[in-house]
Amino acid sequence: MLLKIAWRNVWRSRRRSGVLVASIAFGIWAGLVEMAIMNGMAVQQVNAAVRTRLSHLQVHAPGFRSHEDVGLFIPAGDTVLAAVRHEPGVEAAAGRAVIEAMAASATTARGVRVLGVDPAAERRVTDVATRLVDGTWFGTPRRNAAVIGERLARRLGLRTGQKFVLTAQAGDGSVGAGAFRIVGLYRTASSNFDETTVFVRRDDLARVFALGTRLHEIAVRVRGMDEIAPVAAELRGRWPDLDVATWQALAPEVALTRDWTTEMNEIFLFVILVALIFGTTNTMLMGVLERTREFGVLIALGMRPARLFGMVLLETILLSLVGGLAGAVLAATSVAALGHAGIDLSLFSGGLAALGMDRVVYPLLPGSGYPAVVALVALSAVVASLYPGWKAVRLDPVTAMRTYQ
Amino acid sequence: MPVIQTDQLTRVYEDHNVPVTAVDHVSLSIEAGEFTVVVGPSGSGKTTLLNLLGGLDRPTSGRLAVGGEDLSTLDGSRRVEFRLHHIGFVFQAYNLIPVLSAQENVEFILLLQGRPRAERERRARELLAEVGLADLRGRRPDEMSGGQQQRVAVARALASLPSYVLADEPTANLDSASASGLLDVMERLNRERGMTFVFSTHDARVVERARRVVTLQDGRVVSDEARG
Repeated sequence: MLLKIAWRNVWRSRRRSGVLVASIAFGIWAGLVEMAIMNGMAVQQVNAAVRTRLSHLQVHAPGFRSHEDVGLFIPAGDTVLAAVRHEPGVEAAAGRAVIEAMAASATTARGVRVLGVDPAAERRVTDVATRLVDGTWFGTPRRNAAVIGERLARRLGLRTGQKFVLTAQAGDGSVGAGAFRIVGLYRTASSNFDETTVFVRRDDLARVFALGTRLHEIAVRVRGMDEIAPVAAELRGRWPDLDVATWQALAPEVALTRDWTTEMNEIFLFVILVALIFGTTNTMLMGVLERTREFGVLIALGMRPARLFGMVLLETILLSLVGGLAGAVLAATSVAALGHAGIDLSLFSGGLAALGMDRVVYPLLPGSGYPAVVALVALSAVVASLYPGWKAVRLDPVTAMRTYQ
Repeated sequence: MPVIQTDQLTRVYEDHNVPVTAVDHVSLSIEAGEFTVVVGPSGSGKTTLLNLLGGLDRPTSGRLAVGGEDLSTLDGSRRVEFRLHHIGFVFQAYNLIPVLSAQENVEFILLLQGRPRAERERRARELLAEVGLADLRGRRPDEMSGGQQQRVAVARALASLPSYVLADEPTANLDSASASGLLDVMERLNRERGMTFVFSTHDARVVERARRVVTLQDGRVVSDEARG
């Protein structure tokens, strides 16, 4: 019955309650959609980094990640690669020879990172092969083919079919150089990656730069994000002398952005909830003051203070929940629609690409996010009811019943 | 044993730092089944006396015993409990809960007492029938006349099976017919159930029906007249 009374009391002042419910619904809708956009951007950034350049895990010789010294190769690299491919939880693995080089065209030169890859194996750990804007992913049997970023080609003033020269320290300590022909141009979400990364066949790189069968890097794709930590632990256990790094360790800036996004979302939500608390407190306080006489009567009739407080609390929670649920339903609908269609942020594509993000953002929020926010709204209602409830229970019945209503 | 026993009951207010004695050494004994009216001019202390008898206010000095229990010494929460279980109230402005129907208003007191739902519903039905509102059980206060609302208030006051009912100017807002009907109901409840009623009123129609009239002036009892 108390629930019934509370529910009816909520709608006694329909306009005031309606305004508050609409405010809460709008605030929650805005908060959830904003969280979904930020979360979608973070997830896309992580996915872009993992799928395009990092894969889930990488194996190196100790020290290679900090120095990228051509002499720091994985001992018996191909044997390790074969073994890694058979590890439980591993979906695919690809070996890479890696050198830092200077790429020069007839007009200019730029520093690049050259990845000598097995094109077929590489397709299974990263998706650069699917991001070609021109040419093919090593679709030619000719030697010294290269797939480079569209941005790098533009910087070098080159097109598909044209040659450029890679110069770098070779595996034997000498300086090696070789001409490579562009067979494909790719474009990923990361402008930095596109400007600095060159893919060539591992055999060609080994021949030109005297690398032999050396592998500097094994990129590993696991079956799911949950498998990353266990597979990393397994690899570390099996090859304790090698450096096994997860994508978070390989790209701490991406992990940091993801964590930062989560924290920003929490702060944003907190600000919204605080605003809701003030608005709700104000509305409930007006309700209590308007019903002073009624509360006086209830106290006179024998309603215990705790029960009276509970009634104010219940009314506040009901009011907030109606708004919170409405906001959550609207947000779920909006996020589903926007998550399907995407939000085109082409206007900011330059900045987004610098951060490794796609120009189209797909808002995404885990299903558990909605009930969690509604629960937080209910919790904020509890806080919002404290002052009005306290005012109600402190009423003196004789004075309260004299109040004009 | 009297239902209500006051001994030198006194209530002094501070009004702009000036002490005002609203009830001045009142000693009364009200027996079970009485139909008593407290009369007096405005400011004579009627409402203050009823507030004291109802445990809504605390005396400055003196003693108030209800059924042998000293109400003046109870703390706030125990007075709330005491009111809930021992005292019925009928207010001048009816003061029903506007969002509840007549039936629910009567049930509400029983809910506060923690009575089971079936008992609440049965008792409320019976009481509303007793005050002549069996057909209006589902109506909310704003769908009833003043007289009907006051009858609901009487049913609510009786629902908790109180030791006595305090009625502060219960007919002040009613027309003659409604006031007469209400007083008929209260008289009948007094006669048939032996319920003790204590009124404060200006209304001659109430005074006519009283079997005891206590007159206050400046907070003091100036006459206490029993009628046949």
